Parts: sequence; structure tokens; C-alpha cells
Amino acid sequence: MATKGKSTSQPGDPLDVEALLAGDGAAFEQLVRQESPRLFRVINRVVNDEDEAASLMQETFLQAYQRLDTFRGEAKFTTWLYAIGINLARGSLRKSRRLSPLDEAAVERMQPEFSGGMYVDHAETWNPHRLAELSQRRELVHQAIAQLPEDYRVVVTLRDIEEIRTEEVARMLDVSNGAVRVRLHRARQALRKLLDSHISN
Amino acid sequence: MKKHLMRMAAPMIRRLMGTPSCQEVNSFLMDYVDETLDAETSERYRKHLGRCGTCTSYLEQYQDTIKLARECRDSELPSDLVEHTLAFLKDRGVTS
Ligand SMILES: [Zn+2]
Repeated sequence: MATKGKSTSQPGDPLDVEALLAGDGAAFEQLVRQESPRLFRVINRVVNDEDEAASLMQETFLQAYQRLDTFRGEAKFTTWLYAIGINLARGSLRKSRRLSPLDEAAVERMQPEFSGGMYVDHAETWNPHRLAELSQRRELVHQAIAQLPEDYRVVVTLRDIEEIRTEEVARMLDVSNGAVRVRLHRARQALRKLLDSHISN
Repeated sequence: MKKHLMRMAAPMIRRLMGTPSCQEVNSFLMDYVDETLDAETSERYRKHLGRCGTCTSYLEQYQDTIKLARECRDSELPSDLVEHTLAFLKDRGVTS
């Protein structure tokens, strides 16, 4: 097995899963360097608290190391790692009892309404200039995502922000591909509605 | 009243004409955006969009929403987090 100097590992390099599973410290360091930015972003979107996200991320790596023998290789190694991180983040959220501003009923109300198969409300295309000039646009979108209930926030984060494939997201969340797609569609429609109130008027 | 009758009759007319309703188009939105619709459904969808301003605007807003979410990906990691994490793991015997 080739030994890799720590200075040679770059983000985006393929992980040496064999070395990881053998408990190789250098391979694990490479994993930490490579996956920390994305793993931190994902956990932080779930808990909305940077300090908590940082400590949860450290705990995720530690648990992954301690549970290396439970990795079965059906999923990608990173998928398995993210499943651990997301579970920890959700556990922390439950313990903190911090509820999302919006609940399931609110998401339902933000879905489009139909009568006789037609939209009840008529959407207007968002003016691109207005969209471009919208100050604090990122902050606005960030806030809107943070309002979504956890189940919806997490699929938007993984699919739309991080662009992770549906199949992998399904494995991370331990739900079916169909469930990911249904939640994502509802989440996008709720988000559209939240943003519309800021963009349209 | 006339509008109401039109709404009642609309699904039947559409069925006869073989074009999807706005509601059906909405249920295919994600597949349309992902380009995973079969050719025939995709064609029916496009035909509907060609005639329906509401669905066209809704589709644009839906796509803009995805783009706006994507823009939210920040690249900044709290400073020293990686080093702190490596030290945390080293203390616990993971990395050397
Ligand atoms: Zn329509």
C-alpha cells in the first residue's frame, strides 16, 4: 500500500477507502481535510448554530473512526460518513428543542392551490433586474431555508445546495428515492412561496 | 358563473384533447427540470407550456428558486476548524 505524505492530499482526491478501513491515520487525516467544508455546511444547515455544528462535526469523525467495522461498502464511504453526521445533527436538534419556525401544516399551505386542474393564483415571472438588485439576496434565501421544517431543510441542503444525487441523499437519510423527491418538490415550492413575497413586491 | 362552468368543463375538454392540466404539469415539474421525463410526456408538457402563461411563470420561479438555493453554498469554514478537528482526533488516538 502506498503511503501518502500529508502534504500531497488535495480536496477532491479520491479517498483511499482501504487505508481508511485499516485505520490508517494519514488516510483519516486526508478524509478530515477533504470532507470538513461540506460536512460542516450540511450539519450547520440542520442545527443553524456554528459552534454546535463544529463540535458535531468533530464527533462525526470520531464516531466514524470508532465504527469503521460497521461500514459495509454498499454505499460510498462519504455517504456513510454523512449519514452519521446528519443523525448526530438531528439528535442535537431534538435535544435542544429548537423548533423550526414553520411546521408541516405551513409547508402544506405554501403548496400551490388548484381548482379544476388550474392554478388558483397566477404566478408572475420574477423580474431578473429586481432579483439581481435584491440586496442581501443570499441572506434572504438563507433565512428562508432556515425556516423550513428539518425534513425539508435537509433535502434542500443536500440536493439543491450541495448537489448530491437523489440516490445518495436517500441513503444518507435512510428513506426511499421517492420520499426524497416528494420532500424536495414540496420544499422547493414552499421556498418559492417564501421568496415570492420578497421578490414580487 | 361562466368562469365556474369553464373550470368544471376544463378537465373533460383536456382529456379529450390529450393535454395535461396545470396540476398534472406541476406534478411533473421536478422530472421536467431534471430532464427525466419520457419523450412523449415531455412533448405534451412543452405543448401545455407553450399555451399556458401561468405554468411558464411558475416553472421559471421554480427554476429560479433552485438557482437561489445553490447560490447559498458558502465556502468559508470557520478558521482553524480543520486543525482543531485533527487535534481533537489526535487526542483520542485517531490521527498521529
Ligand atoms: Zn398550465
